[in-house]
Amino acid sequence: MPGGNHTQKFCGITLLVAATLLSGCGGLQSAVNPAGPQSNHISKLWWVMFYVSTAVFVVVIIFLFLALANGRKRNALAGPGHYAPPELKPLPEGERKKRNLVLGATVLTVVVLFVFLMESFFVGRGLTSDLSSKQGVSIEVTGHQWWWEVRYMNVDASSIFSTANEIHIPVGVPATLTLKASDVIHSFWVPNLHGKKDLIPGKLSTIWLQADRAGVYRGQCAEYCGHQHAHMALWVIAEPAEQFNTWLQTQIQSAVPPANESQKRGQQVFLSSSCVMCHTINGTRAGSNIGPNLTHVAGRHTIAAATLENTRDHLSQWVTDSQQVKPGNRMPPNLLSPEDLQALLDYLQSLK
Amino acid sequence: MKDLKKSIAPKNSCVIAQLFSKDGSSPANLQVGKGGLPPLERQRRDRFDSTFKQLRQFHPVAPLALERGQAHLPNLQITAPALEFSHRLGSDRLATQSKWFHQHNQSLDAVSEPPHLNRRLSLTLALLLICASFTLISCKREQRQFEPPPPNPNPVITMSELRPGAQPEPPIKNPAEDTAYSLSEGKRLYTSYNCSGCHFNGGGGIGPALMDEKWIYGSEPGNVYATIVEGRPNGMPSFRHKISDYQVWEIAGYVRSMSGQLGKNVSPGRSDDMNAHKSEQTSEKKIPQASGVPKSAEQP
Repeated sequence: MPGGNHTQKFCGITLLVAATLLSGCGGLQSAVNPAGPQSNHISKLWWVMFYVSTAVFVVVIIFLFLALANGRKRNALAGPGHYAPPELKPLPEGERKKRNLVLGATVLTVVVLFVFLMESFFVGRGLTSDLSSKQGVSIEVTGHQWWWEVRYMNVDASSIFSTANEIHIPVGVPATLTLKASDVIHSFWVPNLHGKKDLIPGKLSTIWLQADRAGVYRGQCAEYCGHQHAHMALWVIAEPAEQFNTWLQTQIQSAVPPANESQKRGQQVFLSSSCVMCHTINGTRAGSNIGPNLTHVAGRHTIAAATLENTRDHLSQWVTDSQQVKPGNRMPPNLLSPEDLQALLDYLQSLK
Repeated sequence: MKDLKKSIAPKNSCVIAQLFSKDGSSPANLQVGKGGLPPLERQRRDRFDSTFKQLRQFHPVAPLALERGQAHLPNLQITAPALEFSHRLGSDRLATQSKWFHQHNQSLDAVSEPPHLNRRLSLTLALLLICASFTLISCKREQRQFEPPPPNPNPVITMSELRPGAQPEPPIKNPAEDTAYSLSEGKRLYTSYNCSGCHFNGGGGIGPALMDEKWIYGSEPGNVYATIVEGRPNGMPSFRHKISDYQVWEIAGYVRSMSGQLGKNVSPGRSDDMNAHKSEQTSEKKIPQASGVPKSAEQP
């Protein structure tokens, strides 16, 4: 039955569209699911703009259809196959009516835009104000092609440490982020917590954000930065204060020394192969800052800038041939013998 | 003037247009009532407008046909008195109203069909096609090889340009010297792997300069490769197993480009920061000269 088929198709498409639209709600990376004071501001602004724009859209469409209906009426009078030209001798009373309508619409548009402007201005002030008064966690985020370096600052130099692609913050405490870039412009965007902020080489920019409820929020580079821009994500993990402090204390420590023969061999492999040219493991001779700091790599949830889950298989895949996962990334393929590779994986997985 | 008034504005009503149905029969008449068409000398804006309004309600194209003096439309006939009236009227008001059509060189026939739609459409399409083809052509760019080739298990490496016998071996070709991308990678790695820690930006410091014409251990790609992989006395460390094979070739290519040994077409991109020397694209080629053992390496 063709009619039923059509209806089914229509229902299917409607469902698909609705599902696509709804999948944006309540997500881990969603500006309409705010979890902090700034994202609250932003989402309020978004909803005001959404409702006003929807109303404007509906009104415009109504007038468009009225105009279309008018034109069709004229064309119908002109006879089949002919189209009626515009009226060359408009009537004065009609002209006056139209002019008033256009004037009214213009004034209304200006008023709406002005309301948007003021709203946007006050939201902007709310986002950036009293930055200096925020005494909380101080974090330095550096954008690299294509990963995030996260450095926890401290007045005590021995408590400064560096991690990658994962920002832990305590719930209800503001975190001040200093944003830098090492190569090209990136943009830091965790929609559940804040708007976008560009990371510009040679320039420091500072924002603060705060999570009001515990949770995991996804962030994404929001400025096209090269081949693997799409695979440049990070996680913000907001956790209660005591949990955060435990994590902090772990991160400050140097790497766990290898416990068994396999891990010892893995450490030797790490230090004598190309790993050591780019990565740091605190407590060993490896101290290069080109790639992510691996001191506590096993404690992270993902690898390769939130591209892969941190499992042994993925780690092995990444070490041996990362170009399959993220073509063009800076990590060279490594030809290791199977024994060396297993030992290296044992070692890396011991770095909690 | 008085003649005209008599002839086209009779005391009784006047049929000014006839509307035909599709089969051409039973015409509907548009009559202008008592007084007929407005007398010429008394033409006042409102009277005139009301006539036209009547006409427009009768048929949307009728006023236009009247102005242009065209009596026949597919289903409309303008009567002679109305046409004449319109013609004689000839006032600036009508002239300005129909100016638009004069400017666009349109007759009523043309009005019946959208003007030059087909020609315009085909012109637009052709323009779009040209734009699209240009875009597609510009999309073609140098292909980047992200998956490096497997390393040569037995690379022929010479430690020096000096060799026994009369026949010199053919120089090894550096695969990375073919594309600007791999040389740019070499430039990036040169800083990342801290070559610049000793050689600086090519001017030398702790290590020898790389941008001059002096080559202590040879200027061929194979020589530079060997220097990086094997290391050299008095400070140059060995990077065997530390740097992937293809990356060594990229760095070796970049080192050679610093003194202009490679063509400008494969020069790496310019540095983002201020540079002490000219960019690789503009540096002139220096003729390599073997400079022998450096002072620091001499036996005491």
